[in-house]
Amino acid sequence: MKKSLVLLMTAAFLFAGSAYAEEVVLFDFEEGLQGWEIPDWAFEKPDMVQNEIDISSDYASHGDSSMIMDVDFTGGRWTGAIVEIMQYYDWTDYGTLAVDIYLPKDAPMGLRAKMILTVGDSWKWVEMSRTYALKPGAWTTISADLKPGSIDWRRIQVDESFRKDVRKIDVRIESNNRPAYTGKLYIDNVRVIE
Amino acid sequence: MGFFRKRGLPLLLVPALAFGLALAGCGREREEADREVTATKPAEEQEVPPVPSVEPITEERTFYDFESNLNGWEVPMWALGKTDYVAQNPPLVSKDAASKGEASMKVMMDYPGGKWAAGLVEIQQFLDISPYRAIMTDIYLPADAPEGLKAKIILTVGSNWKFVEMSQSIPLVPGEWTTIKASIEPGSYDWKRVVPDETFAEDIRKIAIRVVSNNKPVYNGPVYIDNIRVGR
Repeated sequence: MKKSLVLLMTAAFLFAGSAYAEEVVLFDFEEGLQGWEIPDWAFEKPDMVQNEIDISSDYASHGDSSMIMDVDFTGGRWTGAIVEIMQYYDWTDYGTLAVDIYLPKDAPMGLRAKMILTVGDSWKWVEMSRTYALKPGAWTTISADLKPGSIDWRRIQVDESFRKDVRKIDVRIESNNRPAYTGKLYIDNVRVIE
Repeated sequence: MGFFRKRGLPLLLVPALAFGLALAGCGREREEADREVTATKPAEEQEVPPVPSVEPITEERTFYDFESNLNGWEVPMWALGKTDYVAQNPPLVSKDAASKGEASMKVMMDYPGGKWAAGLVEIQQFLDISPYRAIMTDIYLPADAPEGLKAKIILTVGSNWKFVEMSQSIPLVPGEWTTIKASIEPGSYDWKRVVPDETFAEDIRKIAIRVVSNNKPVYNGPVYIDNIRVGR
């Protein structure tokens, strides 16, 4: 009986260990913005429409709070709202990068989002090859494959070096002519997954 | 003057004749030289239009198989308000049928008949598929669906977002999976009003699949799409 209990506990411990190893939360905005900011250049561009960011406990996909972003999409032209963090990462052990974005229920359909990485010695700006449609009243997970051969990144042949030297993570929400939306959106649970 | 008539004329004629012969000779040399140039031109300069390979596809890469989610495929917003576009939003992941894995994308259609109507789904994604020779997808129509529906792949390519349809629509067979395939190689005639060049497949921005009823048939039911892939 004692032996099987020990075996059961060992198995549970191993299972818990492997489950924990599957995903690493990089930013959950529980204590603050953790270094995320609106880049200076974005304040100077008329087509970038983010006003300010902070943390908020209105909504959260991980923990109790998230990053709140105040945006003003005018409609009628392409506009984007961007936040970023500059930090060096080696994600060789991870296959996927993901982030959750919440759009309030009263927001219109049509807003889309993507992640952008800055990678390598040349600080290459690499956008995701596609955007995700954000659904009002729901969390949308934006995810991208980091592994060699991935088709999730634009204008780059993804090889092993791609994920080894990541220098910035950006999250951009876009309105391509439509919709117009002035309000909030929420970003949470920036993570890498094995 | 008499001397000139008797001796001077031949004296003038001989050099003139020699000069003339020399010129004619040069001309022959030039002609020969030209012929040599012409003879070497075809190999060096004549442009041979590219022809797609007829070799079989031996390697495939699946981009979308809808095993766990739609991978970004959707009915585009512009199609939602149009009366001749009949795909219901959103498409679904379904295990009713699959040509690869266990699931496919299920799109509910409602073709009224009596007019041209289409169901269209698409993904907006920047892709370089130039290492490949063809793009393919499988489409399944339930056995109780009528004959007459046809499908094609549509690409949006390049910085001017050019909309490029397949030149032919492929008839769908009820109760069977039909493979829609188009060559993306330079010189391919699989695309309407566009013959791909070397850059065609380097900058794909959207992939769409359109299933059409051209006046007939009437059909209200699902169409299944799976295994959107490239091959070489």
